[in-house]
Amino acid sequence: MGYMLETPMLGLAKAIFKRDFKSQFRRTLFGPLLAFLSPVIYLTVFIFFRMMFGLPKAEGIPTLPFLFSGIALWLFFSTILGAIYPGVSANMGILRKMPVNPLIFAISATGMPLLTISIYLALLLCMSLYFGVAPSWTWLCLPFLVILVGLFAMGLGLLVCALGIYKRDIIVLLPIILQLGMFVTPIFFPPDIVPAQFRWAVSINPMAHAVTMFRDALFLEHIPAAFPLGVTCGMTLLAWLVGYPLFRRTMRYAADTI
Amino acid sequence: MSDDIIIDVKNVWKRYGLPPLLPWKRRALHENDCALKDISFQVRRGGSLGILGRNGAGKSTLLKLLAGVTPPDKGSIDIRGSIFPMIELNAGISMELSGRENIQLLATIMGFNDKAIRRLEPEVVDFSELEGWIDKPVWQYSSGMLARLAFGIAVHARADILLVDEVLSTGDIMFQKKCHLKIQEMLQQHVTLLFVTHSPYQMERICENAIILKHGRIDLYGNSSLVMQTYISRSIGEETTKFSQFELSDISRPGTGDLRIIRAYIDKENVVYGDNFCILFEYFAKEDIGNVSIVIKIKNNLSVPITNLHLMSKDASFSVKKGYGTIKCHISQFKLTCKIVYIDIRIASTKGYDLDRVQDVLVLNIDVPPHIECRIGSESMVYLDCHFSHEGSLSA
Repeated sequence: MGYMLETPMLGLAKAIFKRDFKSQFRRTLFGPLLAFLSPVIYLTVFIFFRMMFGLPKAEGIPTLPFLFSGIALWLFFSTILGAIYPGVSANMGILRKMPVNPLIFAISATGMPLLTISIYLALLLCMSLYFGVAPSWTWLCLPFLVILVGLFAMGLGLLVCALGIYKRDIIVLLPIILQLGMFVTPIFFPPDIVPAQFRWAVSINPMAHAVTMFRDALFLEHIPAAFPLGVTCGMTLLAWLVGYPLFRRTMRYAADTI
Repeated sequence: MSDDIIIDVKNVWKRYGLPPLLPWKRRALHENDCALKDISFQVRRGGSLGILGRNGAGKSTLLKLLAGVTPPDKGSIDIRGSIFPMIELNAGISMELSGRENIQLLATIMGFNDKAIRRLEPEVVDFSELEGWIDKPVWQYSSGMLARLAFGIAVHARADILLVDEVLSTGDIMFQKKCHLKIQEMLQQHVTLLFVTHSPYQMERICENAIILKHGRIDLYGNSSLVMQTYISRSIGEETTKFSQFELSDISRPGTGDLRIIRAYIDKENVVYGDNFCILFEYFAKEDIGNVSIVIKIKNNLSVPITNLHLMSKDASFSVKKGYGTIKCHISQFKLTCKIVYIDIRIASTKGYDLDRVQDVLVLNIDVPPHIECRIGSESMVYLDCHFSHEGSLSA
């Protein structure tokens, strides 16, 4: 055994991403513009929610950028998490005949979310400036938080992918789990309205911390505090420590199964 | 292993499917659920190995192990060189992309850099004869064009070892010939070839050595012409001479049915090489038909046609009238040396349409005397009288 193609990983991930990008939009009318459809829809739905339930405004933060920041970060997280298994299984053809490292396909699956979050981030900053948020040096933390969230999503995605190759249940359930996750993450409501008995759920949810840290750095000039940062980093590490070895192990046999 | 050996497979076992997730549920390797059992062989650099076997014998699994996409459960595979696997030919080709983009992608996966890919591209396009199509998306291609594209990429990937899984059966005959020539050319350039096929003839033509796999084990391993002879003589199996009789009501056959063959036989119990005998068949005609043409096709056990016995007589004595009749075909000095032959009969009206067609209506077991068989080899189909002579200068 032990024969692996000596292909530079990133170069190949780039080639796969290029292929996916091309083939994803090749037969569509609006092309890459479709990527902006989901934040617009979520924004509309959440504004409607807020009006319907009379949710309070987050302190010191204009509503529209507040919502958009949460949506952008959550969409980034959930698209990466949801893209890894499809990305890997769509490339089973290659895996079934050539011994390439399957991590390449997981990496290339993050390409599209990375591209969109960069554009969202630019839009978000413009939007914040428009709503009178003063630019601050704490904005420099934002890309790092985005990367942290990306790594967390990837770690979870590898775990989901590995389990999904054994039994597909998790793949079927994933959209529902993600939907639930969206409601236990303070995206369209400020975290302080969560009743005291459910606070623990928020405090172990790394995405809740990530969203809060992101907003604090964007709107309130706070650098991330040690505790939420620690929880998010810890969970990311845990996801990778469990997910990656399992992924490697399962993928060795994936050519036999999928 | 010696320098000359490029593939060394030692005692390889392979169980299919994922091993259980939980370690305490893993079981010891059991022979029954293994796709490959104790496989060992070596291939030298520039050599070629054919792999024969029935469906499910483990041929494709073996190629996958060699390609390195799935690990063996036991044993070792040692490979010294780069491999291009031509297994699952369409796998890895993206339907939405154009042929050119697919070449670029697969070449990237193979580890080519941009410069090398640009050099490779026109060669592949030229070889695969896809000039007008190369910038069109691949989903518009016919399956033959896809195979050509994939084959073109494979042969230009400059790998040390080619794994070929029955791909030569795709594409039209001209392209198949081209592929054969290309493979011969590559063998001369010291490319090593592993070749899975169902055709023992093709295997013998291309490969130096061969393996027969049976239920995951190596059944036979050796020189390819020897393996081919054994394969062919084994595939004859237990067949014996067989005559046929049909019900008149049997209408599942092709042809108009104005005439039906109802019985076919020969006038002997056994046929011995060199015999004279007759093939006879009885028919029933529903109406007056007039003159007919008759083709009796003789095939070997792999359905390779050997010869046709053809009647196209304008003679009035062959005019078919309503009712029963018998047609007799005399054969003198039967020179075929196949152990077993299958015979098809086809009767057509002189206007061109088929009246009746029956396949394998006769199976003849032929006794070939040993002194002839040992001269021509058991895969031969016919014996020709010949004598050699030699003229040369006497050397000092």
